[in-house]
Amino acid sequence: MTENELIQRCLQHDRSAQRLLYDRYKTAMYTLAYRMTGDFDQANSVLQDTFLAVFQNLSQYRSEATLGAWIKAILVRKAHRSSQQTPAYLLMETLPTDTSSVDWGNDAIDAAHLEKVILSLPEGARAVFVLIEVEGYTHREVAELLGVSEGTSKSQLNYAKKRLRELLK
Amino acid sequence: MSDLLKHKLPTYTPPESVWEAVEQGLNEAPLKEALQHLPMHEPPAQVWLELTESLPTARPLRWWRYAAAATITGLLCFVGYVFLHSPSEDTKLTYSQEKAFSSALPAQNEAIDQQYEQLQAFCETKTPVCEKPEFKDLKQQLDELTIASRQLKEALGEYNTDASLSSQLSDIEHERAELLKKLSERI
Repeated sequence: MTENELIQRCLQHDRSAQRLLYDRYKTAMYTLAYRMTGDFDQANSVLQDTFLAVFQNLSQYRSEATLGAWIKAILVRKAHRSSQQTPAYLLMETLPTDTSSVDWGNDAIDAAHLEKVILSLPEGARAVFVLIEVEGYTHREVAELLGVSEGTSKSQLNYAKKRLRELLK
Repeated sequence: MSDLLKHKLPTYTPPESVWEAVEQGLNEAPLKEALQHLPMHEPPAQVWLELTESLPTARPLRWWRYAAAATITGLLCFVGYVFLHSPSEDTKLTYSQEKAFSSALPAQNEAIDQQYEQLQAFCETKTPVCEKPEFKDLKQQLDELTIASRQLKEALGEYNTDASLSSQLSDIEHERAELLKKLSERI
């Protein structure tokens, strides 16, 4: 079934089509929600809220972006809002601006260990790191999605990389 | 001509920041490589279950309503025609009553749903046993069957007139009971 056919059936509240769309994107979206929030329960809640918003607002989807990118943008905003409500959330503007580069050496980094270390980053810096380095967003897009300046996005990314390097040593 | 141009036209040196950016990209190679292999995570089946409870169900199609109205009208006309044009007074009316056997109806086993809810509550407290791979596997199967069961019940509606669906539902409920039994043994 093409994406257009799937969307049309979802708009008619066809439950099997909704399930198909959910299955198509659930793993990527759930993984992103977990990486941003660092908590499986919170990721469950974000994923549920995201797909509810997707099915309720699917008529507003225009093919300017891919469906996956549209869903992802909704999820990022929801995950960010969800993280902001936690007491441990670090205000993004409070980190120092430092743009010096980080040397990662030549040794291979274990991916499972890297994930644990990423999850230990402060939530704001983690969100910027995941969105830029893993998901491929630009600083401008991140600034728009998270409601911060491009400068903040850049300094947060640099802070995240430096912290990661320290933790991986 | 090309030699002339090569020597006459000015040349430009890139700013140092270009090399710095290239160098930074090269330095980050181990990080980029590891990021390609970060683990992926599957959401629990419960997310879909809760999502479907919040979503509106399919709207009935209009043609279906019109078709139903036309069928009823046609049936009434036919009955009226037969009644008005009955050839003699010898026409006999008979009636029969059919009884639906409870065994043919889908098992409305509320106990299974209750046990399932208890299990959900139990695992929400992050009990270590729920994190064991074997337990999680069985629980995943149970979640999937619970979704199937709810969808079948929805399809059957209140009257349970479709024998094949009823039979499928009975099978699913039986499997759910078996899985619940296995899970409770592990607790």
